[in-house]
Amino acid sequence: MKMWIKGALWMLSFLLLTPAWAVSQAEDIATTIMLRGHPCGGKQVTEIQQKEDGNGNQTIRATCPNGVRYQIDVSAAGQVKVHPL
Amino acid sequence: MHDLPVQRKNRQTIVLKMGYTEDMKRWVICVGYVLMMFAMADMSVLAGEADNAIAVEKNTKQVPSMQKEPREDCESISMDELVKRLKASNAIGFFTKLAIRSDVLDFQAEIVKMRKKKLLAAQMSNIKASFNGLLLKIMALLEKDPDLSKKIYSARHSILKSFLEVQT
Repeated sequence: MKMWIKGALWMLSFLLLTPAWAVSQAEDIATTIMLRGHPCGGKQVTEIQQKEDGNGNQTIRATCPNGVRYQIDVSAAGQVKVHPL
Repeated sequence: MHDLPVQRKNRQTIVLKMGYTEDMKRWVICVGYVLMMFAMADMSVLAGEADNAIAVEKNTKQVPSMQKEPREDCESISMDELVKRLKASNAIGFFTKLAIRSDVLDFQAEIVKMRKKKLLAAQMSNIKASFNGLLLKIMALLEKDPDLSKKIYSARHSILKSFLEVQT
């Protein structure tokens, strides 16, 4: 089978299996920011930058629709902290 | 000539008899009608009483069911199942789930702290308020997964109970 047919089938199966209302990463990050009590001014963030160190700690930077850029620190234990930059 | 009075008498008796019978018939019909009316009235009264009795019975049945409502409302859900369902839900993103988890762990730590200080009973209203806030937050996030939201809301008492039972 040709590669493009395989690819198309994979894409199709992915589209069929993924629920229509699955949350995007931009929405997810915006919700997290708002959940921590920070104003965002919209449901989606932009300019997402994601980093992960060797210990499993994640750092995400994203800009809200109100123009404020936030940093989200996710520890390896799963603790989430949000602070504006 | 002799015949005439006899005939008259006979006729009179016949007329009298006929009149009597006619009157009797009318009376019987009237009395029967009245009796029927009474019977119908009685039946309607009885039917009304029966309806009332049924209504009373229903009401008496409804009272326990109304008493049972909070019990039905207070569905129990195991924490493992709840965590599994929350993890599997697509209505919330990964980071949001982590944030909720952090909130839940903070709430649990607060309860443990209160218990150690022996202030749990005194601070119960505050604990319930913060639990309700947490619940409201989760339910708002689960807007796209109404089944899970409904399940969590109906099991809120058992969830709080299991939080309060946590010793460490």
